[in-house]
Amino acid sequence: MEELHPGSENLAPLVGRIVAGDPSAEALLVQLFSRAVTFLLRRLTRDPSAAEDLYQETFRLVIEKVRAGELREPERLPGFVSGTARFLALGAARHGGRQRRRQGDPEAAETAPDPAPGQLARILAQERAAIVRRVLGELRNDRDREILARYYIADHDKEEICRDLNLSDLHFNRVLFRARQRYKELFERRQEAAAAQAPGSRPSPSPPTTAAAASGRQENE
Amino acid sequence: MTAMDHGYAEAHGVVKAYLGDRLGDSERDAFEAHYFACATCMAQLEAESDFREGMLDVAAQEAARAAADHARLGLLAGLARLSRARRLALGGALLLALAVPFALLLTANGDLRRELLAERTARVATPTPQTLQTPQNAGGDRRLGVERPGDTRQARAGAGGEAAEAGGPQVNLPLFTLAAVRGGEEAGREPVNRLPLLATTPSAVLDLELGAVDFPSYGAVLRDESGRAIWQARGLHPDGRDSLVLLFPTRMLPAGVYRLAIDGVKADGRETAVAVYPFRVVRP
Repeated sequence: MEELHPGSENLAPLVGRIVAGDPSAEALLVQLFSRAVTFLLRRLTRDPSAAEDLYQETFRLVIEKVRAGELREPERLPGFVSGTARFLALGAARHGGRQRRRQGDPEAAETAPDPAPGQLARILAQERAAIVRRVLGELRNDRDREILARYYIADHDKEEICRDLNLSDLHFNRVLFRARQRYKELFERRQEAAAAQAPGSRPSPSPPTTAAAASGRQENE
Repeated sequence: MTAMDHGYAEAHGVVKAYLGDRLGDSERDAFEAHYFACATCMAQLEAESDFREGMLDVAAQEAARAAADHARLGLLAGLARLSRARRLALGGALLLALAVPFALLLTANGDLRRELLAERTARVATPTPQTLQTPQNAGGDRRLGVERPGDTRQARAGAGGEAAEAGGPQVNLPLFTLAAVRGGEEAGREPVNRLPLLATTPSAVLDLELGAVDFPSYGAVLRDESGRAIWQARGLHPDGRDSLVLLFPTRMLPAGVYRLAIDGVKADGRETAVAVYPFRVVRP
């Protein structure tokens, strides 16, 4: 099935249908922005369960406001959705911060989110690290490993790395593309194995999509 | 918030800057609005973010491992920097730390051994009827009281020896000096010796004054009322008081009339009646 994305839709009719009370339009809105909302909330909260709660709240609030006609420019719907998600995530973070500051309050302690990563998040991080180690081990030389380390860990700029290592943009892009591509393959293979062992289980967060390959190819071009 | 197109995002490396939190608020909001509507940037963000997180996880693990290695090396290096005297002192302290619990363990073990021995001794000092009625005990009695007779002190020592053999002394054993009947007693006549034995009395000492010791050795036969021999022995020797001192387990002596006959055994083996000691055992 072709993947839905807001860019392929004419947003004005969609907003109009929601204002008119069309439930299928509301479902389509959720479908269109689900992936981006999930990504943003997880990035902001660093907590999959908190992101899941905010995910529901984000769409509830967006649909409520669109129904009420508060979105006057339909083409701004993507920004409206992302802004709502960010607003709620920051509000939740502020609320959690206040509760943590009131640690002497038993009621606050009961409702305050645990700042430590959950067990699922730790397991996912370990699996992710294991896959990255394998990717790094499969690289052909130390220089390619250095490229990845400087780019992703030391957060050096592409230009700086290419200059220091006397690399062309093409080589740099190729190293990153191949590493991400291999990571994606291994990640999807692990996902398939996990799904085979536990049918019906939910997929892990942030699986690389097939579009990632297209993105990598664009970099090489 | 100004709109951001895909060309601008690619040209300026916005994806990496966004993941590195290096965008200003306005540019960040514009990019978020963009990738909420751009499948390509969304996919690139996911791929970059996931791989970047994995790289950071690996880096964190390596850093933790390096820190642990550094700590171990630091401990060894610290030990190496100590002077010889301090290393010896540290070694002595470690040995002491190990030796003290070991010594306490040995002490506790010794205490337990002593308690166990005391417990066993207490059990033997209060013998049960079963232990006294064993044939081995009866044989032991014969050896102690008859086959190597001595004076009363020896009998007491014998009693003590039995008790010692059993693990402890016996106290206040009944001691009876029996009167002999030389010419035989009339049939049906009440014995001149009366031995009241309590049921709780494990043993009784019989002191037999022989009066004359003209034989190299003596023999003894104890018969019950029916004339059945319940015990006999040969090769007995009197003690310094010319007495035979015998220790009998009371289980051998139920209530009734008994007749203990002593014969002198000559060198050629012939026997001569020396004395008869009739007695009645009563159980109050």
